[in-house]
Amino acid sequence: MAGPPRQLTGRGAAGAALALLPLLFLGVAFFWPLWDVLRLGLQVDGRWTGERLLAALSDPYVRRLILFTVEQAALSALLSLGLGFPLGWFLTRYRFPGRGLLRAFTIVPFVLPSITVALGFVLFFGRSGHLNRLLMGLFGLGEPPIRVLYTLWAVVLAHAFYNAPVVARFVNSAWERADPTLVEAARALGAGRFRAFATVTLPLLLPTVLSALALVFVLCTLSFSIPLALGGARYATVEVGVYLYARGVVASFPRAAALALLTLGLSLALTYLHLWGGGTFSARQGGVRTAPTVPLLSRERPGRALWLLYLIPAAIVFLGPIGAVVADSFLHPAPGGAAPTLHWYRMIASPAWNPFIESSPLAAVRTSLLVGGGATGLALVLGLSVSAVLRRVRSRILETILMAPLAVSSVVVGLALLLAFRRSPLSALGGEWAIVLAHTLIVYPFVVRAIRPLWDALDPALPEAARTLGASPFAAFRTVTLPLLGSGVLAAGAFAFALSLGEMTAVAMLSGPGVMTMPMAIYHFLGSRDFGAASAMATVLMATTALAAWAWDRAGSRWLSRTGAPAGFRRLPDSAEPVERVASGFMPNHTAVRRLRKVVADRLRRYGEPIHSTTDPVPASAADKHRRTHG
Amino acid sequence: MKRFIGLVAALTLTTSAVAAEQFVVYASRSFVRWGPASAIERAFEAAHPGVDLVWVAPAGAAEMLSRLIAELSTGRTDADLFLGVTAGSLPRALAEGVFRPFDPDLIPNLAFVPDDLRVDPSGHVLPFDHGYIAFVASPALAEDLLPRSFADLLRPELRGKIILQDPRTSETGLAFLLWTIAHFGEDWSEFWRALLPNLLTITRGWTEAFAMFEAGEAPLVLSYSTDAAYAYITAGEAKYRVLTLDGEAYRLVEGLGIVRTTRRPDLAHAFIDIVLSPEIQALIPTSQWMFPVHSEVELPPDFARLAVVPEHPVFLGPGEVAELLDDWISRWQALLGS
Amino acid sequence: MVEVRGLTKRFGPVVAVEDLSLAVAEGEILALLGPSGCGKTTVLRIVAGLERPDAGRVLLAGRDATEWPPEKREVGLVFQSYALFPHLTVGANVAYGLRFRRGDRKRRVRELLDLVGLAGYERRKPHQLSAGQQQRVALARALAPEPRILLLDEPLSALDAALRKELRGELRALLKRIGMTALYVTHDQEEALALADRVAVMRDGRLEQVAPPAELYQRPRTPFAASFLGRANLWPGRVVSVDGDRAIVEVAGERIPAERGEALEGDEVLLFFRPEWVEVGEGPLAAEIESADYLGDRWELRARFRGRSLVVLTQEERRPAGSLRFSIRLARAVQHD
Repeated sequence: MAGPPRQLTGRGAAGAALALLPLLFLGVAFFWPLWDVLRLGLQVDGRWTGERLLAALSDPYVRRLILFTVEQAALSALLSLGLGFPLGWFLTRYRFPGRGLLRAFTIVPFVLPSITVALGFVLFFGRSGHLNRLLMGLFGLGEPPIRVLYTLWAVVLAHAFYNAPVVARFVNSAWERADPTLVEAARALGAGRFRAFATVTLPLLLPTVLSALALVFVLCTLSFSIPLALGGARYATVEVGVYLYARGVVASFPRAAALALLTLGLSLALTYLHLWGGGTFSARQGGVRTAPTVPLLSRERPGRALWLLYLIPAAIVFLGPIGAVVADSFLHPAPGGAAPTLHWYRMIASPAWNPFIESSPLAAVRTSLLVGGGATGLALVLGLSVSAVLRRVRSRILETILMAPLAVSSVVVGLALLLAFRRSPLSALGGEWAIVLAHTLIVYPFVVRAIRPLWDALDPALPEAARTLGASPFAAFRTVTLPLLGSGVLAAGAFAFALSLGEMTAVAMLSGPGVMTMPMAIYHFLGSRDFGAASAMATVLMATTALAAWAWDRAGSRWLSRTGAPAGFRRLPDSAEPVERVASGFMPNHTAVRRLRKVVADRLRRYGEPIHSTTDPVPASAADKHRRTHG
Repeated sequence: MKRFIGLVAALTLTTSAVAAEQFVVYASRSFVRWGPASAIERAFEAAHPGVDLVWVAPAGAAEMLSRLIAELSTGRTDADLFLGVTAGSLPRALAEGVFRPFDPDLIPNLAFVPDDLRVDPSGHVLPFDHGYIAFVASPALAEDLLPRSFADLLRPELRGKIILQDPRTSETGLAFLLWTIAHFGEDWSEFWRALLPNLLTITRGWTEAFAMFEAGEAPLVLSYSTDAAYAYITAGEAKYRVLTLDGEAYRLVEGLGIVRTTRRPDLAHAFIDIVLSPEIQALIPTSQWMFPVHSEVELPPDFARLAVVPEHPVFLGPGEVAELLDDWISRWQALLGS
Repeated sequence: MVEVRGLTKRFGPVVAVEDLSLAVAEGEILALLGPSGCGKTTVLRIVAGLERPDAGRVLLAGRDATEWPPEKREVGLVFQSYALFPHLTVGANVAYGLRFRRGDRKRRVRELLDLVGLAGYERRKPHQLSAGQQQRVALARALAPEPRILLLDEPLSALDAALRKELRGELRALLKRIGMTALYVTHDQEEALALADRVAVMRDGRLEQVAPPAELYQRPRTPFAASFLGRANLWPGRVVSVDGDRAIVEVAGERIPAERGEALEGDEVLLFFRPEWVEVGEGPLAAEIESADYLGDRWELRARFRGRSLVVLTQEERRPAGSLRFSIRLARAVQHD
């Protein structure tokens, strides 16, 4: 529940100044560049026209891009459901050692840089990859049996790798909250186990499943690195198309801009469509009891061993690619078999210029860290000021403006900044700054989403007390609000850092000689099939990202445990489900979409509070306000 | 706050990675990986102390050229010289005004380049090597499956066994597209449609295609007619078979040009003269695995013996490609979905 | 010292405060008393500068402070939730308001903790304190910068009954000792009567009556004031004759003498009397007992007198369903709203 609007006690000027800062930043770094994209896509000789858009749409290749984008997203969503639903079931139903760990691991793919996954797929599923070599050795085959790579299925499987755990997490948390009494009632009324499942449990889970499908579909529509690295020339998505037109293939900025507008429209249209289908479901649930678990290993039910038929292939899909990356980073391929080596790590620690990654490997590592740090710092400042503005001024329009970058895919942000850095004022900045700005725009909405629920839960009397004790609004923020939001801010920062480290889409648009980050360097290494160097850098990248993600998780739970029922907070903000929070944070921020998110949030209710307290569309009624003030 | 300023300062510092004292060459990945790039760099930097020669080669030549065109249109490029342009992409490069004309008087070694290799009469691009595009088979491909004609490439037994390159991003890929156009005329797209099922993948550049071929991902790759010589000279066995199709192979002349916006045309001319020098040209056959353009450089005997020269070299000149290329590329793109 | 004039504040369609004027004199403790939702906290927040009035002025030491931000007003505010900064120690909480002023902070913190009886607690964190101790820290923190006026928003409501009683006496003594002007918001009439020099009764955003506790208790001017403070019997009746400040009120055919108040002859009024003003056992009037509640030191009887309900107190046990004779020792005519 969103708090009622705060009184604008700071005099108007201070509030306006506060709103001006993010507006100015977004104006220069986002809206103006985006305007350039619009003009390029919709203007011919200074005249507004749909010509370019129509020309693009009538190009069979572009139509192919759109069709393929939708096709692979749909398949990816279905496969993610197929892989993820059993896992969600498994996690809900059974007790076994390592259950908590397994659950925690479902978060891992989310912070894993996608280029490392692509690399892992090449190494693991290639015709001469680990899996095929293993199977050929085991069964004495002459031909590699697994032919996934270089097909559409490589893209789909990699997307499922990412999103099945998300689905599992959604299903698991919805199922745990489904009241077991309902199933027991059905059984008592004579329904068999299967019937009870089909008529009671499944309908209860349906909204969650639909929400998860919608989310995965949108994520896969906007996916870039995986189709770029795994799709080859034949399986390109619209996002990849924007990149190809802007940077590689025919160097046509107008066509890139037209495609960018298409991808924008596509993602929004699809989201609305899903909303229309998925938003109508809304089943209230939430019993007092949670579903009971049963031990996985039991002498009476040897049939449960059948789970291995699912678990083993799943483990191969999830662990194989990552294992392959780590293993190959320590192996030197030699004719008689591979030998352990640190050669690749020495190579990526080299400060010498490498023409194939247009940078030195060490500089790429350094740039990644600096860009991550810079983007994190800027995103925190921007995220905090946007949160502050949106708390003071409750306006849909302002919120839409201030959160607009959320609705724009990374490749479009990249294109916009690529164009913006041609002219002043941004052209005065170095190439790294383009990436820093792009990453800031990509990550700050998540910072806002992480901080606002916390901030809304903070007892407003605390900063007020500071004010009456003589603190200016800013001093009150600095000495009271900020320290209390502290670990939330830290967590948001760590997450922003992890996101920036792994981000490759905008970097692909903006990198250049000497301006190179780790994921893009991995992509270049992959392109020149320097697997050892790619693996070593990917391992470093994964380790750094994991560290940041771990810090994110720690900061969140530390905060919870340190303050118990947190002092200073009127209620427990729901920070215990970071995956869902982050996952739904990917959804574009439109009024209608907000409704969908609310459906998602309803499903995710855990502590009796919605995840997105900030997006609750019902304004606090005057009566509420009255009660609060006098309560 | 102080830390933030420090960070800003650090970021600003790294942006000067490409500084004034550097001479930047955009090249194809294959040239820097295989060719005499380091020898050129040594010779160049010895002749011009204080200048750092920087190779930028993260992609295939055609992709690098497109990138250069994109960068020039945004007014921001670091490139002083481009290496790897072929007859296929030359018309586009000239139309986009990528290159400035060179001054033959500043390139003494130009005198040793035969006239028939000078593919650009407009005086912007100079050749530095030449060769032939052909299919190369690994021993994994059974003798009776070796394709000898375009029709053989369509045999169902070859399903998923061929690696091609993308004509939009790779000069070899473009060469193959032009080859099929030269061979089939208007029917080229029919051939391509029939060929698609036999492709394992279409890579963005030749380097990854050849690396995949060498790793055993597929037994047949579009590559150079010198690969048998390469295999024999480096590994001691002629394990790769070079296959002309219907006696044809596509002729490829690789050229280089001075980027319009360079501030150091003097260094650019000096660079070209070094590339055309007999010392560097002598390295071309056994590093770049192409034929040198210097008329007085002798070929190594093994190279001369094993490098395949086709009965019927196929070649579309820049004049024949010119305005049709865009249309061909978009038709080719449209085929991908079929 | 502190004065508000014509304050009005709306939240959407709801009027929280309407045309309210009030002054607190130097050194005075004024209690703002009313049921929850009557707007009393809003008045407090307007004085503190945390809300801005839609109309009206706030005067601090004679100067118009309506537009001043909270940090410039030099008012101390004790929140209902105490709002202790959970990330700061007790000492740092108390010192918080001093960081924006000059002077020896450490000494001042010690002084104040001494004053509230928490010497030596500087290094504790708020969550390590009991609720009563937290309340004292909040008080010390608000007093530390020597505010012109101390605003207290239901400061004792979070405590249990016994502690509340103990602390309210202490609080009054402390405020009087340092001569602090205070505006004290509460919904607890007993607390208001025990603690304040004057009590202002609020209802629906308006002031009903402002008077010293005893006067308010004995001579409420409105039925609301009468019934909100303590138990009251209010019988509708009519003034049949007036003699000086005495009047005769006719209720259900009985003529009952009462203080006149502002009533005129012929007025329809309410006859107001406290349960303890009723003499039970003898008298001219009779009522039917409906229930009897044992309160420990006495019995509270609910009875019915000719259709009117009656509450009285007795020392001895009475059974319901019996009859009760009584007389009204003291009564007052109160105007209808």
